[in-house]
Amino acid sequence: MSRRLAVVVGCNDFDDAGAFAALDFAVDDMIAVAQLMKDSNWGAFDEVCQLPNPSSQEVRKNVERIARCAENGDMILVYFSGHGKRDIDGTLKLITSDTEADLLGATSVAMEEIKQWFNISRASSKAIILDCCYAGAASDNKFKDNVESKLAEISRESSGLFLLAASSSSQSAKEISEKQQGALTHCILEGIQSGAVGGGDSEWVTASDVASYVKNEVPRVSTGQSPQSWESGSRVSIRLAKRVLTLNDEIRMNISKLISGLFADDEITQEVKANVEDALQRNKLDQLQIKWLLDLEKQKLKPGPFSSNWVQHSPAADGGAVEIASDGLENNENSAQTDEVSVDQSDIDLEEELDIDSDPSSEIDILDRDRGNFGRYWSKYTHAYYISPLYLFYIYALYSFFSTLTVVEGMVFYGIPVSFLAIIIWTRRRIVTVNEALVCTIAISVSAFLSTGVFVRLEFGDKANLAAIGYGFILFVFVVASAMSNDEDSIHSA
Amino acid sequence: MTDVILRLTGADSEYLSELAFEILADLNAEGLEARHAEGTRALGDKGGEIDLTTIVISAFSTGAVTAFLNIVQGLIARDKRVAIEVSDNEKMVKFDAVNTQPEAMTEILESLHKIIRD
Repeated sequence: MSRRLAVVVGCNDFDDAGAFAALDFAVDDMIAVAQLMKDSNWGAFDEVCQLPNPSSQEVRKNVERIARCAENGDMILVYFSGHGKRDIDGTLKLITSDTEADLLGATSVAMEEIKQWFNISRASSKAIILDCCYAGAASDNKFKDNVESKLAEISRESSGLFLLAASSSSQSAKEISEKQQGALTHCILEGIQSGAVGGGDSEWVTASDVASYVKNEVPRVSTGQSPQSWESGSRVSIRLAKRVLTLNDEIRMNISKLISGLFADDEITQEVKANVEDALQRNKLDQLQIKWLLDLEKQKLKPGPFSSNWVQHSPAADGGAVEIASDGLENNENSAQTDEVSVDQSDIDLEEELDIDSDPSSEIDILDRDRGNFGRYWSKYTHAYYISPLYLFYIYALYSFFSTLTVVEGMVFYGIPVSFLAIIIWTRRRIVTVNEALVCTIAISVSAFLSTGVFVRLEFGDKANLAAIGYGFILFVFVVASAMSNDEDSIHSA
Repeated sequence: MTDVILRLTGADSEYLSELAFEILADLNAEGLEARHAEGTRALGDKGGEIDLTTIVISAFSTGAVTAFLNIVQGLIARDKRVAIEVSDNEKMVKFDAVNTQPEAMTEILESLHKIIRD
């Protein structure tokens, strides 16, 4: 199982106080980032090594440790908040508590060192976030060339490397007194926790999403500071934290209209309509419900499955969700206060809700895993319930016409009506799509026609009972398997 | 001898700072004692102790004056956007490639020489 490992560093105080003025919020930045990364509802990191006011040796040791112990599939992150200084050769040095200005090389952490460890690491995703002055100097061409050539050399094309710098190579990075955080760190945390970071429908906020967001936001809170980012090995999106789904006023209004329309069309029940409207009105929605509502609005989820999901889940009705967000951020005074409906993070654990492996993943991944567990699938998606009685009936029909009816009569009296009934029920209840129903029904009819003929011709006699039951069982497995192996849309439908 | 200050202007700060690092390396390679000027650190800055676009040259050895003038000449020839300001406590010479005719260059170099020699 892949791991997520991080080293977060914050340095406020410096032994060489004459050369490096004390900072106010670098350690706070580090703590806030560590909290976010550790939280299973946000960063979901397995290990977060916090280093407040460390020596250069402590930083080196821990960064090298995670870089070396990471395996293929793992993610490693190094976050630094503190002073940055460019040496006389232009290279960036991260200033630690024991750094001496006159012995910069020996007593600071050179970006070159971190690059070196990252280059040899087997981790699939590697991220560096630097909230310090001149951080853009960390991304010289040599670095990029080295990384890319190294990646190619060791044939790890899926590796992703990301660097986010608080400023360009010539700019200062700033602490914002009002926010009591570094400008970059503030924007990262705010963007992730408020759900303001955009980009995609993924359940994860990627490094690229964060970079796009902070490039716009940081200059607003800190004039003259332009964050920069570089990324290579883009086949893998570097997942920084789970995404917060929100509903703004416009979307809420659209959803309300949609729900009313669906109720008018008899697509959803009065109970579901009332429950959704109540939850919207009271802002009592968890992440799963918001996702369903957004999927419903985008027509990614059909009303039938939406209703059954909603009724089965419905934590809002239990008072399980807490009004307006930020529950997971109780220690963070700087969490975003927006007009949007935000969400109680404590209730978003989809995996627990569905009793699924806790590895965070997309809904499709979860459903993929579910396909392998028939019992779970049976209980979660009800279409098997509808299929099984039909097949029992069909088996009876087969048995009956062995003795009393011809093949054609059997088809007319049993096969065709049952097939139509199946189509009507399956599609009406949106258990399967029309195409799936048609394929299943044609398969049933053809198989019934052929096999019945064979049974009659072979004069199975008393063994016809067993043959029919066996045949019915095979058909049943076939139809369930075909329904389960359909594409994403039909899985949503299911 | 007072420090001589070389300040770069005329382009974006990122470009100028990279240029300054190169000039700094050239100056030190020629035996001049050069460093970045002290910066002004604003409240909340996570750095800013040095001025990345200003170089202070504090010691000229014999022959280093010629090397310095060559570096400055090379700088003008290399990038026409960049304006260069060389000063000590009393005098200052400011020039750029766009507004400096070739024939005026000799005069500028003499002025620079005077600043350094004094």
